[in-house]
Amino acid sequence: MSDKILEIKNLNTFYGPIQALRDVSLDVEQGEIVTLIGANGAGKSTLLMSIFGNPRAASGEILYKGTNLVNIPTHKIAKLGVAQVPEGRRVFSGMTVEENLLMGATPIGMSHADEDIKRIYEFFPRLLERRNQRAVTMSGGEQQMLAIGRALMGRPELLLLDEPSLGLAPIIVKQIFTKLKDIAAEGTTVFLVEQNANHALKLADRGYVMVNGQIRLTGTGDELLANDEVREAYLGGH
Amino acid sequence: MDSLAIILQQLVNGLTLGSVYGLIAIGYTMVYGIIGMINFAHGDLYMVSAYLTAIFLALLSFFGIDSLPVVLFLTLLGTMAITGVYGWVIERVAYRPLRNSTRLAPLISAIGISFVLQEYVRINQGSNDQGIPALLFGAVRVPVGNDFFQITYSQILIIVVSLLGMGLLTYVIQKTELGRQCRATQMDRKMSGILGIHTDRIISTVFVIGAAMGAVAGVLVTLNYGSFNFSSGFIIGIKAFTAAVLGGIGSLPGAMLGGIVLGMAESLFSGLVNTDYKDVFAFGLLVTVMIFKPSGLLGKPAVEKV
Repeated sequence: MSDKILEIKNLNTFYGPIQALRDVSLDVEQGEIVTLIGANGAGKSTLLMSIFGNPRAASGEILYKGTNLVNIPTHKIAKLGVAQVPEGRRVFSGMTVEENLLMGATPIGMSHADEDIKRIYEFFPRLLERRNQRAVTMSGGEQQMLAIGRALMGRPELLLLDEPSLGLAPIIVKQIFTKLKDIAAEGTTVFLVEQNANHALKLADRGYVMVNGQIRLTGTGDELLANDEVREAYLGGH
Repeated sequence: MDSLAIILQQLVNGLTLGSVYGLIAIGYTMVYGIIGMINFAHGDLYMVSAYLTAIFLALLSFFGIDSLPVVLFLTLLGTMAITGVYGWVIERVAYRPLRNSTRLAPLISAIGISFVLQEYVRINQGSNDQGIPALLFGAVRVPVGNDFFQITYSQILIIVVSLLGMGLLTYVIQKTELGRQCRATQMDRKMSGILGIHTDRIISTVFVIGAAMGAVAGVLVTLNYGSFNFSSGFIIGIKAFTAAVLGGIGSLPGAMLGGIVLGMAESLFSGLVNTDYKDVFAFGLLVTVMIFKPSGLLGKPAVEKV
């Protein structure tokens, strides 16, 4: 076995009659930050949701540390050590910040919850200030921190993030990406889906470019940043 | 009679009736909250629990257990457990297979289950009224001026057990891990699955809790009124559903509040105005609240997710 933590092979996924992913293959190595960039509707979110079996893959393999996730029920996948910060954050709006964090501990049980919550509050001091506030009352950036904190509560080995920069002010995006770097430095593998190609490629070790449900390009972050096609399509030509 | 005494008497009766509505409304509101369907068979589960109460009372007396508190406690527990099993099976057999179907399909299935339960009981137990002997006698009389109002011991039992049940459930939902998982599944089922919550099991649990709370109502009302038949669940089910909508369907405190408000309103109207039109008044109250606050007393306005 290699040190690939995630290996996707020839994945095909459908929404009803519409094929959302076509023969997608990619891999993420232990400890890496890998990004997947692409336009809105390219299939990036579908890929992340497919990892959690929602929608189920029609064919192909999703190997997490060698285990094929394709036929594993959704609720068992988090217990294997994969966490997701989904598109639109999806924090539990009616719950307090602390309750949201507790929900994140579900895959590993509540025995470490207290110490982990403290760790998250040190990592995102803003969440400590808001701990008894309902998530719905917080700003987008704070909700994003909460969604990341919630995912970290499950002590994941692989963290999947779907457009954490969506709808946030540039300065907040910068803060969030700095935090992602810290998370990776502590040993969590990060797989980041983004439309914000500039930030994502600067952060990532490697990247993939998805167009219409297919992988079009791959390379290191710097290579892709220098690539004409990428510059044209995702970086506004500069 | 002194009109103050009448009002106080009707408030006591209303609180009793309202606690029962509230207990049953919990089942409607929790199921609606978590899977967005109205479980039209819920009133019939209440009816089943009335028969189970009689069966347990008979069994316990057959085995020579005659300490009243023990009998009441075991009857309550046994009825809750078996009604809970009914709730679990119904979800499993009649609703879960239709989960990803149209919104209407589980509703039709629920109406079907309602008929199945009624006919099953009618065939096995007959269509005549059944009854149990009264177990609790006596009342507390409270003087008011030259007059008095009274609270019977069985009313006290209904109010105390209902409020205890509601309090305990509120604690579980607000403070425990199971409760958080229920709330999370209600707010966002897909995300809950991603976080590792076995959402199908949580949905089953909610059905069991709803059925068990309905069973508490069934035991209490049966002990108080004594008689029931195979269609007893219909009207009280509709009333409890009204209470759930009045309080804001999907909201647990709303169901309890809606139940008590409805029970109080109905009793006061009966006592002070007219008994024949009490149902008209109750449903009229619902219509009025719906006009001015469509999401109910404690409900949140529905926001369509995009």
